[in-house]
Amino acid sequence: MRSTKSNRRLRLFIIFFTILFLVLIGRLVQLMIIVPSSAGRESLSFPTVERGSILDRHGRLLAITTKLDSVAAWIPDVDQPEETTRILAEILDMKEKTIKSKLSRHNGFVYIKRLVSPSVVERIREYKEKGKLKGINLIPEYGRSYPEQELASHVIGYVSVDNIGLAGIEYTYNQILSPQPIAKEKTKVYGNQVFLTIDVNVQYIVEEEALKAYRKNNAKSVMVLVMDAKSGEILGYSSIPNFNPNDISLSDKSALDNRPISFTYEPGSVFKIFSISSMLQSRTLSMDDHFYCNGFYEKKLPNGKTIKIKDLSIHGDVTPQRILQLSCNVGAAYASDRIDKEVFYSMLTKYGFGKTTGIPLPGESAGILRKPDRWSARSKPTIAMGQEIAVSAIQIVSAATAIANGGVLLKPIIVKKIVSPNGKLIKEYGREPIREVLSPEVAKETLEMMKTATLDHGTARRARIEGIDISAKTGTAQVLDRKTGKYSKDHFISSIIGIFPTEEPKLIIYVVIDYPKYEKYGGIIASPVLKTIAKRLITYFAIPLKGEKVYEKPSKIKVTIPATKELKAGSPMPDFINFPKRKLLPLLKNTDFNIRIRGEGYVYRQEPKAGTRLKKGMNIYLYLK
Amino acid sequence: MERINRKPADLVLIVDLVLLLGIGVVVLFSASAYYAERVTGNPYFYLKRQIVWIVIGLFVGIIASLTPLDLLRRITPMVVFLSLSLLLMTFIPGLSRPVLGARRWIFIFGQSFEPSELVKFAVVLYLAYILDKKKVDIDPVNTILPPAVLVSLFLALIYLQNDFSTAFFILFIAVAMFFIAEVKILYFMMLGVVVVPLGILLLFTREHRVKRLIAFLDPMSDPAGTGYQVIAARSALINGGILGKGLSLGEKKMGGLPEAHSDFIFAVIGEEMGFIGAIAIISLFLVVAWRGYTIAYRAEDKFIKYLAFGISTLIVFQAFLNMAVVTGLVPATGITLPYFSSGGSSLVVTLLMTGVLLRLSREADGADRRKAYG
Repeated sequence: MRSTKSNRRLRLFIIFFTILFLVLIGRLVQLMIIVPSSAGRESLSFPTVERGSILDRHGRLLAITTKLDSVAAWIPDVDQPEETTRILAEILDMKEKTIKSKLSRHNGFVYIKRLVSPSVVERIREYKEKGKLKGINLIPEYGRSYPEQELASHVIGYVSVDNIGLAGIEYTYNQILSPQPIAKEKTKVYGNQVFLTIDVNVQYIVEEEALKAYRKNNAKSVMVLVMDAKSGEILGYSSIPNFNPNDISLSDKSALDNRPISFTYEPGSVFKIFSISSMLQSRTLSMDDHFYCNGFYEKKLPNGKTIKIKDLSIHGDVTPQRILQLSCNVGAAYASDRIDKEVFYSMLTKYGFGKTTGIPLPGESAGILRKPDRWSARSKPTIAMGQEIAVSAIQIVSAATAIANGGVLLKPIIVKKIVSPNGKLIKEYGREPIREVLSPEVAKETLEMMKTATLDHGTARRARIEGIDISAKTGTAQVLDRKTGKYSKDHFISSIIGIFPTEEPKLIIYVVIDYPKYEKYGGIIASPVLKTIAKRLITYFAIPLKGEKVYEKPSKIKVTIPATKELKAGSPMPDFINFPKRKLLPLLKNTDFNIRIRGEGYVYRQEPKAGTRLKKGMNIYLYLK
Repeated sequence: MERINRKPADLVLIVDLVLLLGIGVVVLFSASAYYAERVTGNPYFYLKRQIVWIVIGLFVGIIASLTPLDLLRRITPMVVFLSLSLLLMTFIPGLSRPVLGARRWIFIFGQSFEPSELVKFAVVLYLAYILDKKKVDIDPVNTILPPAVLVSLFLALIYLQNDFSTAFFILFIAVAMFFIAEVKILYFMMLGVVVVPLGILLLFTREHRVKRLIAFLDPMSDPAGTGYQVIAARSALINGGILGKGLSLGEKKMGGLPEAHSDFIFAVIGEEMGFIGAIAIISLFLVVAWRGYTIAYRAEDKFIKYLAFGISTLIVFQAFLNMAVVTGLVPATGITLPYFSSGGSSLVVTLLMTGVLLRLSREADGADRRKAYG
């Protein structure tokens, strides 16, 4: 029986199986005997990636990768857990309990503290030289540092300890900043640099003024966006409260919210610029139409019912221009009577409402613009005055580009270019027109009408700047109380949008103050903020005022700001006199000294004097005015 | 007749199985404790579960080893029908839900079960039964076609569960059994003409398979993604060296190596027990092959011959495939290591088959009878 055909085949199969297992054993010999003895362990480590920087439009650093050490323990080697815990708690400023539990709960490798400062590293080295802290190791790692601290924090975002972007540009451009290495022979990979459209100087002005408004009004939040009217590039993007991306654990959780893209609200009267221009564009409204405002809007419906919408004041006879100048709700409501709701809806979607703008920041909200088949009889007039619709600040600013650009809607741009580690331009972003929303005439008319709002009697008169025409529109929106489903009596959102100069718009500024506690009207509290920012930006961009002559020189003036000086133990104290505060802030990262900065503005006095030899732990005072 | 010729079960095989199960439990505990504590808060979570499954599996295995062959032969159509129904159940939304992108499990009484594990045994049992019943050499078309069609049905269903590797595995076993059953080489060639292009087509129609394949060819192309397990397993083996780091002292299972307690448990064996330990485990599996193929070689009864061959091949080839994945010889698949990997269905079915194999070892065979009579 044994030499049957079946058994012959079985023998063949066993030979085949033997070969398979010989290959497997050969592989094990290679991996477990040959490779370990030929020091092949290194070749299997992950390539390290040095995350690229984030810079402003002029190349000023906003996020940079630093080399820092992490403190870790290899438990089997820790021979004096008690002493080690005590020493580490002192050096690392941690609770003994925390360290103890880390040491006892693991049996192999464990991080004690990630990314510590150089002075801590030095102290650990000192102890190790004395033969203490056995089993405690320093592991070189990359950290992320944000030299401008809170500045533009919502745009930049932040990273995890493992240098993975968790918010903002750090998140959306994670792959570009920290590309996954493809080549295996390279052990180190450098990430690309991302240049933002943000201008640090504009950003600084915007954040300073936003913070002032935030404090003055005891507001819940303040948002200020500044956009280049002609290119759609965002120059300033501020949302207060903001956070310090160097250590997000220090800030309130709500401060991390990227409100300008994620927070949606009823825009209120600012929205009239979009509704009135839509009616003009659809030719259901003409510039010389007249409406009579006696304090309420009233309309008889075909079914016999009457709807009534009250307004705060009686404006009398109004034209479209007067509606925008005086912010007349009744006029806007009557003006909406003739536009078909489908047409109205289509105009608003053309402006981009109800859809995300596509700005490359995570968490953008689309807002709410209901389909016309779900509108009630009241919807058309209420939407015309900026209610029954939810928008984000970025939507308002992008929609305003259509008015500022002869009717062409632009896509908001936040990233200017991407540059490879060796300086090669990989991608550049520029003006990106989406569609024509308005005819150039209607856009012009809207700007002109908005200009009258900054004249006497106009709601935005407090934003007027002598010598320049500003087109503006204010808004004061009641906020729906989520508990009662009714409009809140004291929660308002006050806002203003400004486009200037009217003749040839250069900038769009949008200011939103959420829940001001003392005064509610956008015309009263938001207008001055716009005015101050506009004034400072007019100076910064050298926008000519009326009567001013512009002298242009063919060459570019280069001004260099001195780099922040370094504080080092053993070296002399630098001279900080006349240093702006912004340049001092990175010093605060230095934990070797007690640095105190008092006041705002520029350094006028310093202690110790320049040239004094610095010692570790010294008190350094910088007085600003 | 049968009763008289019965002899005691193969002692070598029993000792070998005890060793496999014993070492398996110890290694599983070592590989899973860290993960179990982190995920469930209880380091013994997987150990306890595995022991429960071993007890159930031993019970099933002992019953199988006591089942007379005639009865087994008679219930073969039922086993096929049962596994086919269970397999179809995975397509019923109420009974199954996709886990990690694959619909392979059914959930009954809060327990999950992977029917494709049972299908492996059902296919082997059915092929042994049908190839014995119909003599292949007499009427090739009538004997090869029906089992080929049924096996294809199983393969199609398992493929639809998004389990390409198990489908491939069963195909391999089926082809091997046809081979032993003296099917003409010509038919295999004809099969190859159809199956190879189809297999390649099906392989490349799913992104995750292509990704795994790329990760296999060049794990460094995406070290943090699909190549991760492959690199981690490899570095665990390299860490192990000749003698290993010692049981429970491996590092890779602490988060560095996903699936350390299931598909990649062999990497933990390699890291902790070294080359010596890995070779020892391979030897234990080879003993299964040796004893199983001896039974097949000596058996006069075709059913016993085919069944012993099928079961041994199933267990040992599965072990081979798993180790080949861990050592980076073949692309990552979802094949478990018999007796070692955590997972109820696979363990119970493996023990069931082991029970049947022990039963087969007790049946009389020509060689020993001659020896016994001198």
